[in-house]
Amino acid sequence: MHGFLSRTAGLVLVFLLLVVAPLLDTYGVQEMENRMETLNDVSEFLDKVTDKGEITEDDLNAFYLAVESHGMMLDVRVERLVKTATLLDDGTVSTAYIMADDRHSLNVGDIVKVELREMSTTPYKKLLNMFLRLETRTYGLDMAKMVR
Amino acid sequence: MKTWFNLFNLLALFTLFFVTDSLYRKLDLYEKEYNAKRLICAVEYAAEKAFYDSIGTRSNQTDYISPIQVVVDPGKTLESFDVMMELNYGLSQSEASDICIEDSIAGMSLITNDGYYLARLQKTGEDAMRLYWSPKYPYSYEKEEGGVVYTYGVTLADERWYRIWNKGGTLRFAKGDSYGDAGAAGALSDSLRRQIISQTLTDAVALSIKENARSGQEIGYSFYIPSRQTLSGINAVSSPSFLVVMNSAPYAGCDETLDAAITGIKVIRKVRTVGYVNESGERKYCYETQQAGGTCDIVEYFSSPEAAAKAGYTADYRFIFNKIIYEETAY
Repeated sequence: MHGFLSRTAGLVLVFLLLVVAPLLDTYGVQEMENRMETLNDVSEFLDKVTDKGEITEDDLNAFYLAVESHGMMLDVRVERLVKTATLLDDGTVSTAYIMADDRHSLNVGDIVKVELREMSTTPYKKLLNMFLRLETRTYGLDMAKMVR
Repeated sequence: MKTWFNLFNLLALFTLFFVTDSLYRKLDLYEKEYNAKRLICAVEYAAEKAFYDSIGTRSNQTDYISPIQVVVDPGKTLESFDVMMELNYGLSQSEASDICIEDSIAGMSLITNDGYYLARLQKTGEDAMRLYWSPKYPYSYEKEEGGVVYTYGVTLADERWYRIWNKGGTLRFAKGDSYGDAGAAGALSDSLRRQIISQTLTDAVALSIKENARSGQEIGYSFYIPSRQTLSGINAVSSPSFLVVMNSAPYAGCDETLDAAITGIKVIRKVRTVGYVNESGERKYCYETQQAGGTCDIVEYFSSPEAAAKAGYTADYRFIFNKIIYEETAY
């Protein structure tokens, strides 16, 4: 009986060592690299459109393609925020950023905001959930830059 | 045989432990790198916006490329920085978020042509600590001549100078526009000006970081602003700039960030806000040239929407999203 148990434990350990650990390592590193590349894509897009002062459909299509090409299914939102100020009853001025319908033409001082939300799970998260019962948060990224 | 199996299992268990540990460390390193890069981007974007909002309009002919013409007002700087950081991290725009953001700032300075502002930590009515701007400090240095101590003040981008000294219990004041003028000749030079500014800013920001350090916080900064561009590519401060040194930022997932962002953008255009009375007799504002083709006459010009709001104007949503035609604006 004791021999059977040690053999089973040995087999489980071998499976963990030779199958699960390398998979976790590969998928984990891949996931982190994907996030880094997505961050690069977002900052590159923001730099480009805020320098140019406009967002064309081509810019948006290229950006959507770039962020979706890293293996994550992402919901992408690009917003143009315009600063407005309102005088309140107590004499203070409240500043608010209002989302504009027209996000193609940008003015200096406007803010371009990009929101990414992960819509599905990844192999790394599935593995973590399957073997370690860990529920990790879905990936999300918010970045905003002023138009120069 | 059983012993061999047990030994093998033990060895496998140890190996599994080391593999898991190495995987955890590797992923942690990736995550830290990601968070640090994201924080650097966010701080850069926020600093740029904060600096842009600090620049005021002096007149129609203001030349924003010339550092001498730039008027810098710190009134909205911190608020703009907080708002941009909140937008970059998906935080709500509230006082709690502002406090959280300001907690992560080790030092902040707004560098203008004739002096600099420092952000200092002060206790608010409640227990929270908030950052407030100090009065503007000059770039000054002292020199002793014939038993009299002269205090010289210099500016960032030109040769304007002033001198204060105590003569027989009375404070005397002199000023000039060139280092060749009597009173500055032999005492001031271009290289000395750069050294004064570099030394003053380095000392001030280092002291500000030390003063602003929260209780129990370690200060591990070695901070230096060179007086001229170094071989390693660090630029001297030669035009109005905004400087932020970040600390630990829990909202960004960074336990410790020893990073500084210096934003010294050259603002080449700054569009004014225009106030007018619309067809219904309401006082409205939008940005210059946005109501092109409109029939309302411009009543007043403002440097920002806040200034327009303060004067009783409200945003005109018919025009405020329109494209600004830069060729027609004064910049």
